[in-house]
Amino acid sequence: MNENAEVLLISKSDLLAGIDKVLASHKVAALTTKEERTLYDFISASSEIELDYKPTVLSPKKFFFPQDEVIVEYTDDGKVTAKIDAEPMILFGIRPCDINGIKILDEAFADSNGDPNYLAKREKAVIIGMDCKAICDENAFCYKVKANYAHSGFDVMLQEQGDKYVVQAVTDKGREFMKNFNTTAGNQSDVEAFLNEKAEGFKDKTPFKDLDKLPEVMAANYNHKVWDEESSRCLSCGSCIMVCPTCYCFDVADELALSLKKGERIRRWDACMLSSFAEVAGNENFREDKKDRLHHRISRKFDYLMKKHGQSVCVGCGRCVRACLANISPKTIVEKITCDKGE
Amino acid sequence: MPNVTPNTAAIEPQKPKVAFFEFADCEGCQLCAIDLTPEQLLDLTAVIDIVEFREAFSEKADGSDSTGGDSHSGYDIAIIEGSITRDSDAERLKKIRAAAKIVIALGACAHIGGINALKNCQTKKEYTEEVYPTDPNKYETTTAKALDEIIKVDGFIPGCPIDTGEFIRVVKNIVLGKNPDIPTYPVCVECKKKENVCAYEKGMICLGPITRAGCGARCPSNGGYCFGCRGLIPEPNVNAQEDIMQKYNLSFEGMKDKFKLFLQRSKEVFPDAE
Repeated sequence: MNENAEVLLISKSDLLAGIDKVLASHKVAALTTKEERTLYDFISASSEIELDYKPTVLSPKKFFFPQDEVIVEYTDDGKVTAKIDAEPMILFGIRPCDINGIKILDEAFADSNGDPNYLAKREKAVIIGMDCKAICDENAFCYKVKANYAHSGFDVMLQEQGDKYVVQAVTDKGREFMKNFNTTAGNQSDVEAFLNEKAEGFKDKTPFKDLDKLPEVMAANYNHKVWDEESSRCLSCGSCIMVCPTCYCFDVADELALSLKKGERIRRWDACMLSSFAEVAGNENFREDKKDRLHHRISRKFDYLMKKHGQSVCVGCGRCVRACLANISPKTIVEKITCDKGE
Repeated sequence: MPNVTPNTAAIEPQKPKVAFFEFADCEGCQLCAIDLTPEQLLDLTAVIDIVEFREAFSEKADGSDSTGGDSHSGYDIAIIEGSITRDSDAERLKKIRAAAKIVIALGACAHIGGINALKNCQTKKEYTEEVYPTDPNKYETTTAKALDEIIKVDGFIPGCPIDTGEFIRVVKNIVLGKNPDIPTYPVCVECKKKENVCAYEKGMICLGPITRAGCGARCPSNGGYCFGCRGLIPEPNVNAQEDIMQKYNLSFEGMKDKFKLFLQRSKEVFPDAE
C-alpha cells in the first residue's frame, strides 16, 4: 500500500449514497445477488451491493476479458473493422486476491504489442478495492501465496472499520472518483488499526514453505507422484480454468453469417485442461494425457509464469477448488510437492 | 464417432443438393432445422438446394412422386434423423449412404440412438409385450441403434432436440469445406461461463461433466441438470463421475438411471450393451 496516500474516512451510508450519485453518470459493477447467484455484475442502485464477500463463480476478469468477444467484423466487399467495445466503468468492492489477479492480467495483456481490447477496457475502469480481514471460506488459500494483501492494481482501497470505512485513494483516477463522496479526514493510524485486525484474522495462516523458490521446486518435481494421484480423478471438464482469475488463454474463430456475405472474428476463453487445447493438425496432441494437462496448468501458476511476473500467478482465491467436482486443489498439490503439512 | 472432415471436393456445383430422411424419431430435429426466420430461410436456400424433405414438402430428389420411398439419386448430402430400430431400416439406411457423398446424423436418435435406445435396457419380449400386449409380434422391431453402428457417418449435429444455430453452422461449414466444428469439451465449460450454481451443489445428478457442450448449458441454466442428450465428450472420465456421487452422497444407481436415457449405446458407459 502507498504509505503517502491520503487517508479518508467514510460512513457506510455515505459510501452507498455516493455510489448512487456515481450511478447517475457511470456504469458500476459490484458484488450482487441475482437469481440465487452471487456474482459481480452491473447494478442500478447501491442497495443491490453485497458488502460482505461471498465467493463468486467468475472473477471480475470477465469485464476486461469477456467470455466471448467480437474483435473484428468483415464484409465480402473487403471492409474489415476492428471492434473495441470499451466504456467507462467502476468496479466496486474488488477483493485483494482478484486485484492481484487483475495486476497479473495487466502485465500479461500489456506484454509485447499489447492487447488493444483488454487495455482499452482496463484503461477506462476505476477499481475500488475492498480489503479482507479473514479468509472468505475453507477453500480460499490467498494467504498461501500472500495474495491476501494487494499492494497495487487498484485506484481506491476500502477497509471496513465497524460502521465506517478507511479510504485510501492511490491514483489520480481514484482521487477524482472520491470527490463524489462525503468523507472526513483520517490518518495512518486508522489504516494501522485495520491492518492489526487483519493480521489477527490471518494469524496462523502461513504462506507455502519456500514460496519464493516454488519455480525451482516445481521444476525439480516434474515426475512427482502427485501428478498421477491428482490427475486420475480429473474429469477434464475445464471448470478450473473457466473460473480462474489469471488464466487468459483464448481461441479465435471466424463466424461467417449464413448469407456468406459478412462475418465476425470472435475470441473465446479456452482452457489448457481440455483435451482439444493442444491438438494440432493431423490429430497430434502435445498434452494428450490428463496428467500432462494438470502438470501444465499448475506449472503455469507456480513455475513458468511465476518467474515472469515475480509472484505466484495463482492468487489462492479458491474458485477452482470450489468448482472442481473431483476435489483437485493447487494448494494440496503444492503442499505435497513441498512436503508442507499445511496449516 | 470422430469429427471427420467431409470430402467437399467431391461436391459440385457450389450449391450442394441436400435431402432429409427420417427413421425412428419424433421429427422434432427436422422441425428445428427449419425453425428459421424468413430471412434465414432465404439465406439457407441460397447456399444449399433442399431437394427432399418429407416433413416440409412433397417433391422428391429423384423426381419421382411423393408416394414412393426414399430417393436414391439426386442429392449430395443426406441429413438423417432417427435411430435404426428395424433390420429393414438398416437396409434403407445403407441405400441412402450409397447414394450420398456426405451423411450427417441429425439429433440424438441418429447420433447416439437417443431415447429410443432406452428399450434396449429390456428384453425384446418385455418391451413388445408391454407396448403391444395383445399382439406382441405384429410389428418388426429390434435393438435401437445409432446410424454409425450401421454405416459410416461423416458428421453429426447432436442434441435432443438439436440447436438451430448449430445446424446452420454445420451446414455453413460443410458448404465452406470446413470441419463441422462441434465442441469436444463438456457442458461444465458453458455452465461456468454463465456463472451457474453447479447442479451438484443443488443436490442434483448432472451429466454435464462428461456430456458434449454446444447447447449453452441450456438445462442447467434453467434450473435443471444435464441429461446427456448431446452424447459423451471424446474421453469421458466415467470413473471420476462415480467419485462425484460419493462426494455429494448421491446414489450410484441414480446416476446409472440417468445414463440410460441417452447413453445406452455409449460403450464407455455400458460396455456390455448388445
